[in-house]
Amino acid sequence: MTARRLIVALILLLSSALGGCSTAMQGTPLPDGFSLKKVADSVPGSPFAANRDGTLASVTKGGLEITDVDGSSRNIASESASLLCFSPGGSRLAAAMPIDNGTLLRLFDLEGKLLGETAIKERVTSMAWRSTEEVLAASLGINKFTFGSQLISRLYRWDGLTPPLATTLSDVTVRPPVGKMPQETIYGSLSIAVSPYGDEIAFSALRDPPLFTPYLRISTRHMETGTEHEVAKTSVGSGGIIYTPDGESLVVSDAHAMTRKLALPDGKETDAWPTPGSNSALSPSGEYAFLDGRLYHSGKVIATFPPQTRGTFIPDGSGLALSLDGKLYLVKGLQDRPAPPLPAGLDRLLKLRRLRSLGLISEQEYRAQKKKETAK
Amino acid sequence: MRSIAAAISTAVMLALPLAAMAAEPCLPCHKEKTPAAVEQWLGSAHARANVGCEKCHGTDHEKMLKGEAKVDMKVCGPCHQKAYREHTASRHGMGLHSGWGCTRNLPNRKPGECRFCHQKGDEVPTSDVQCARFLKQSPEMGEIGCNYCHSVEDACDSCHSKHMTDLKIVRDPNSCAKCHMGPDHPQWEMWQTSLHGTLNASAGKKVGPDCQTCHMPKGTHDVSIGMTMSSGGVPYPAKKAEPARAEMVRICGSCHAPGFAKRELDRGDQVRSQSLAIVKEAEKIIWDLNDRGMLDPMPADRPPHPLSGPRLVTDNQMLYEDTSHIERLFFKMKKYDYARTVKGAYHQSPAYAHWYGNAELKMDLVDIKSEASRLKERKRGAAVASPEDAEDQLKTLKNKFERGAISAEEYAKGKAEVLEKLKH
Repeated sequence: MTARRLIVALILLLSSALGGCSTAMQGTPLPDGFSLKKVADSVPGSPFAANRDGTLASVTKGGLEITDVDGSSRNIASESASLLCFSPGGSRLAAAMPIDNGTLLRLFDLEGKLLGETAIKERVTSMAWRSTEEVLAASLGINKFTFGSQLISRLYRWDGLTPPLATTLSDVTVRPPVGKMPQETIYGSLSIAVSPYGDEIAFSALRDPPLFTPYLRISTRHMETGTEHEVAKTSVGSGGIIYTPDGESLVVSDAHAMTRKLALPDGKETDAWPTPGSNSALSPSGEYAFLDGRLYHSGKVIATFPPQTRGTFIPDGSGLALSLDGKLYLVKGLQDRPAPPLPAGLDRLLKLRRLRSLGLISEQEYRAQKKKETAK
Repeated sequence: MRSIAAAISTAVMLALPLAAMAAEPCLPCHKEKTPAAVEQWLGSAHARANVGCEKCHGTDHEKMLKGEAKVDMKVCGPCHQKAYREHTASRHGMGLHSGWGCTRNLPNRKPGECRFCHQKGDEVPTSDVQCARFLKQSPEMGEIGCNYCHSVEDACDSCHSKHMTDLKIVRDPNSCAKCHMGPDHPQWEMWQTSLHGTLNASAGKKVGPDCQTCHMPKGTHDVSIGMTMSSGGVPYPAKKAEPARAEMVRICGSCHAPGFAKRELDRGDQVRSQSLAIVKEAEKIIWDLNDRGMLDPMPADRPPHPLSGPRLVTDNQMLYEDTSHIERLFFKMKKYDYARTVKGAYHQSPAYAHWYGNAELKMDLVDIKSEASRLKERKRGAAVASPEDAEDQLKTLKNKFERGAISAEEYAKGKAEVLEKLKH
């Protein structure tokens, strides 16, 4: 074990011990100007989502519930959900609901009206909006054989109106011992994130090369050209992937090491946090990061919550929603800004990104052209 | 009884020609089963020299019936060493390496084909050179259309016939015509209609030379003697071409003044250079279209080339099927019309050099340019509906750079220009 890993392990051990002592969220010391308030109840461990104005969607014993900023809540579905996410405009909520033979994808408006529904044969493990009109769902199907398990990851593009379009993300056969890992670890191996430009996704996929330790391969795929680039490798059991607000880096967790910020497309490490990033989120401007219970601002820890706390930032930068032990909290007082607006010459920038994905212009040429574009 | 049998046996042996003793015990059956073969052998030099069936065919009848006792060049070589050496050093000895290629991975193949390249029980082929056009053929066409000629590499009977040894057969230009005729290299027709050929027909071989006079002088089996270009018409480098040219001038010199012969051959060289420039111009047009993604269909969108996969091929492995129309025009240009122009010039055949060759070659270029314009126009029309111009231009530049048609500096400059235009 390297010295770096040993330090990380010690920090993790220490933070875990400290976290375990601090189960009472209300007593967590917060920076000046910050406040913490419980806003709703939820089923422990269930998903939740925050809308741009602070509206929350969560899973309760009664089903799916929306809680407004004033604290009033309403039930919009009697079924539970495994994934929730609000559309970029905030007018629609996408929910993935497990059913016997797969997953039901549903779209609701904020009043709970069902806008669309489609069934997917596999288990949907990750979901994200690509635009206000299209939601992406990544599914993982497992076929077990005597010689191993075939894992097929698919990406579904759904507009809520027509049947979703499916493409294969990954098709890999793993050895029997790897196939016998806990189901949650295997299903957790597939997660996706959408670039702020909406033209590219990052996704993880389990790899099991003979004579080597299984790992997760992190890749990007351009949505129009289909070209893929491997960005990094990370440990099995790691958390998700996040795009930085400028769309030029990924924040990648590592269950056995640190959370890293990797520049695209070459995967060069540009920053790191000494925590695995099992539960991670970035604020809209990217100035705040929430990783395994710690709230970072400009690289420094400014508040520490129990490490199993899950968090998501409010899209307007006004707060941080947290979930712990069946309760949802809202942290207010963050000095964040909304996500940077997309540049005026977006069409040209998207064209440049497409050309880069096709290998027709180099990274250097792309950056030089982008600089000129954003300098206008 | 024993003395009667011995007497009959002696009588039979005395009744047969002396040569027949060499073929015993094959003759009694084969006189009935293959009478022509026996008849031809009986009249051959082999029979006179007491070279019987077993000498060439061996004694394993089972193997013969299976077609595995082929009388190839290795059987003839030990006795005909000089001819064998000359042949193997010549273009015939290479069989031009066409009509070959591993068929293992092709659909609908027949196991018997393997013997084209493999000895029984031997996994290593006799040649590792493969021919794309052969690999595109059915087994039947491969045998008749390719190997009936290209088996010359390893089979004396390709020219000499199987059981006859009469040199009249192989000294007749008709024995060359089996392969050296037709649209791709009509040397036989060129010779026939040249002054050499017409004099040969009217005044005889002493006045009008034939194929063998110039290409197999003094009975040599090295048919490449005096050649200054490859079979595909690519000129040899000077180091190889100059001694060959001197050799050919010497051959011509047995009838003509060396100065006259040299001048005539030099004139052929000029025609070759001029024709090659036309071919190269057409080839450049096709590669440019490929760089721009304008071939219809593009190599990636048609059955892969048997040797090069989904890539454009315009060299000697070029196909005449599963290509775009413009490539098919180029195939005709290069394989037929260029060959007819150049070989027509060297064979002193004005009609072949000009009208069957040069005129067609130049008209091919007109057709190719016209087809290129059409493809470009079509693409331009499509680009109006879908403004992918910058991407296409960058793809074209990348393709040109990757095949070495432009330098790194030119590539960078070209990209910068396209990106500059993209701003507007």
